Amino acid sequence: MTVRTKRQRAVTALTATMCAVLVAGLAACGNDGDSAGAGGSGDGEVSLRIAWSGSDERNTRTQDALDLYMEQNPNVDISVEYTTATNFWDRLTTQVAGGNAPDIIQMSGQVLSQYATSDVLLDLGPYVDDGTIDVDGWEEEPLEAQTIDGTLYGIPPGLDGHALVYDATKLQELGIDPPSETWTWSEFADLAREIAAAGGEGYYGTEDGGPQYEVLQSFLNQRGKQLFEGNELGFEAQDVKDLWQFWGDLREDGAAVPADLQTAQGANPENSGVVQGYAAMDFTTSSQYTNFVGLSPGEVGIATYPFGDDGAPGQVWRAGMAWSITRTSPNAEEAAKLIDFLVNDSEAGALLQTTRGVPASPSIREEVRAAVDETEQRSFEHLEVVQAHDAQVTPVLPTGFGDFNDLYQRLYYEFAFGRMSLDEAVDQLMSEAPGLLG
Amino acid sequence: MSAVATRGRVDSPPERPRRTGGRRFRISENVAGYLFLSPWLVGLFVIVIGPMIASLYLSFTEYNPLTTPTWIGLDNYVRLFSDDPRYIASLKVTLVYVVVSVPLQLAFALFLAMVLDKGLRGLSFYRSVYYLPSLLGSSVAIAILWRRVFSGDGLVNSFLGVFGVEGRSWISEPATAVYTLVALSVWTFGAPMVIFLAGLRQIPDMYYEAAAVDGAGRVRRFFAITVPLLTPVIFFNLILQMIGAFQAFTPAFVVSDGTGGPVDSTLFYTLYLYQEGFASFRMGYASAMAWVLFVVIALFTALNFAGSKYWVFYGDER
Repeated sequence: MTVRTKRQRAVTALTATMCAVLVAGLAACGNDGDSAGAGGSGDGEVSLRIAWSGSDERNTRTQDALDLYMEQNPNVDISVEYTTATNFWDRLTTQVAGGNAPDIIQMSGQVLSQYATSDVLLDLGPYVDDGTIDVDGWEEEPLEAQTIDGTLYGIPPGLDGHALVYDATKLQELGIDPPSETWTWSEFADLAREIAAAGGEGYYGTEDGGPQYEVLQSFLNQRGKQLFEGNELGFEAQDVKDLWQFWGDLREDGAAVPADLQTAQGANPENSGVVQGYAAMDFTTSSQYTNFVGLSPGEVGIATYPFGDDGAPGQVWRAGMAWSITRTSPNAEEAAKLIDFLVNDSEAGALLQTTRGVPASPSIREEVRAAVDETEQRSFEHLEVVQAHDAQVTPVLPTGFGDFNDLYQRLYYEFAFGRMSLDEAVDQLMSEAPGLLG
Repeated sequence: MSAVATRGRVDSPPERPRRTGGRRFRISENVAGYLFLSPWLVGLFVIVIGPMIASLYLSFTEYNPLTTPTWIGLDNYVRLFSDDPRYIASLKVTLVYVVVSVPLQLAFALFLAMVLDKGLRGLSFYRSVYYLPSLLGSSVAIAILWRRVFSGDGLVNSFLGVFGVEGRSWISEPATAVYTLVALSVWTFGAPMVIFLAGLRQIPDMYYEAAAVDGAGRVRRFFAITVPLLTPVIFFNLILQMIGAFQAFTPAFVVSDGTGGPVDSTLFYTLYLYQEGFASFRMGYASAMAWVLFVVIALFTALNFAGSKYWVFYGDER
C-alpha cells in the first residue's frame, strides 16, 4: 500500500511537472504575440515593433538611432526585428497573414503596391498634414513614388541613382580613358570592345546589362517610354528586341561577359566582375558604390548610365525604400513620430548616415554629407549629377512586378544561353508579362 | 494514436480483480501517459495535421496571404496541369533529380559500406568521417561551398585542368546545373551507408564460407548472397531517400539564390512551390502544389511497395 501511494505520488508529481512545463511552454509561445497589443496602456507606456532587412552595418546604426530615441522618450519601448533580405519578406508575409505584423516596416518599392492594395499599410497623409511627419522642403518625386491613388503609404529614408561602376585601376593600366558624364550607348559599346581587346583572354569590357530591368528602364526613358503605364506594359516587343540584340552583339564579340559567368553573379557586389577582376564595368546604383569600393582591390569609378545616341539622358533616381506603418498598429501616432525622428532628426541622421542611401531630407542630407568620407561623398555627387540631367524618379511599380522581373530575367537568359531565339524570347515576354501585372 | 486509445480501453475491463485505489491509479497513470505523450501529440495536431487540413482548404482558394482567401474550387489544380509550363518544368527537374540521384547515392553508400565492412582498423573513425557529409549536406554552408566547387574557377575545374580538360561553370550552365545538385546528394551518402553497414553485419559469415568452399568468386558471392539478403535494407533506404529527394529544397535554393536558375534548370518542385507561395503571393496555388506532391510521393511509395514483392527477400519467406 505504502509503495503504491509513493508511486501514486510520483505519478501525480510527474503529472504536475508536465503540466507546468506545458503551460510554461504555451505561455512562452503566447508572449510574442501579446507584446504587440500591449502598447498604449494606461500608464503612457508605448511599445513599438519595427522591422527591416539589410546589412550588419545598417542593423547596428539603426539600433543606435532607436536607442537614442528610447533615451529621449522613456515611455517608448521599441523592439526590433531585422533579418537578411532573403528572409525578410517571407517572415513579413507570414506575420501579416497571422495578424501579427510589426508597427513599422521598411517597405520596398518592388512590393509597395502589393502591400498597399492588400490593405496592409496605413495612409500616412494625415500625419504629414498635421506635421507629425515633417516633409517640408523635400523633393516631391520621392514622396510621389510612395503614393498610390492619392494615398501616401511610406516615407522614404533615402535616395539613390542608377549608376555604372568601372574598374578605374584597370582602365589606367590599359591606358583607356574613363567615360564622360554624357556618354552614349555607342560610346559604351566601343569602350567595352576596346577594353576586352586590350584586357586579353578572359577579361571582359562589361557585365551583361541585359537581365537588369533598370537598364531597360533607362533605355525606354531615352525613347520617351516607360516600363509601365499603370498596370500595363509601357513598351513594345521591338524595344526589348533592340536592347537585347545590343547585348547579344556585345556578348558575341567577347565585350560583355558570357551568360554562364553572368548567372553566377547574383545580385551581390562581391560577385561582380568589377570586384572579381574579370570585367571592367557593371550596372548598379549609387548606394552600392561604397560597397564596390570596399570590396575591390583597385580604384572604382562611378559614372552615369550611358545616354541615348540622340543625347536623351534617360537617367533615373529612386526612393526605393520607405518606412510604412501597418493598419493593425495600435500606436500609429507614436509610430509616425518615430518615423519622423528617423528621417528628420539631426542626431539620428548622424547615426544612420547613408545606410539607407543618401538621406531624403535635404537638410539632413547636407549635414551627413559634411560628415562622411570622400568615397561616400561621391555617391551624393552622383545623385546630383543624375538629377541634373532631367532624370526621372522610378514611379510606383505595379503589383506583380516581382513576377515580371523574374520572367524578364529568365527569358533574357533563355536567349543568352541560346535556348531560345531573340524573337521567341521577346514574344513570350510580351505574351506572358501582361497577365502578371495588376 | 488509435493504438494508444485502444490499449487504454483494454487495460480497464471491469471483471479483472482490483485492489483498492487501483482504478484511480490506472486513470491517473493514463493521464500521466498522455501528458508524456503530449509534446508529440500537440506537435502532431498543431504543426502537422492542423496545417495540412488548412492547406487542403487553401488549395481550393485563391489566397494572397496579405488578404483573405476566396473559394475557387478546382481552378488551382486545373491550372497546374493545363496552364503552367513552369510547373511542368519543375516536375521534370525534380523527377530527373530523384531518378538519377537516389540510385547513385544508394550504390555509392552500399559500396562504401562494403569497403568498411571488411574489418578495417579504425572502423568507427571512418564511419564517423563518412557520415559527416550527411550531417552537413543540407546546410546552407555546404550549398555555398558547392557553388564554389563547381563554379568556373572552382575546385572541379582546377582538378580537370591538371588533365588538360577545360571545364565550364558547371553550376551556371543550364545543361549541367542539376547534376551538381545530384553530386551533392550522392556526397551525403552517410545515412544509408550506416544502415547498409548494419544490414551487412546481419548476414552470417557461414553463407560466404559455404559459397567460397563451393568455389563462388567475389562477384558471385555479392550477387548471390549479399544483395538478396540485403534487399529489405535496400528497399528501406530506397523509400527513405526517394521521399527525401522529392522534397529537396535547400541545395537548390542556396545554389541558385532562390531563383531555380539558370533558366529554371534547378527549379525543384518545392522551390517553385515556395516561390509561388511567398514571392508571388499565391498561397492557394502553392497549397495545391503541396497536395499534388503529397499524392505523387504516396503514389511512388505505393508503386515501390507493390514492386517490392518481386525483388525484396525477407529471411522468413520461402
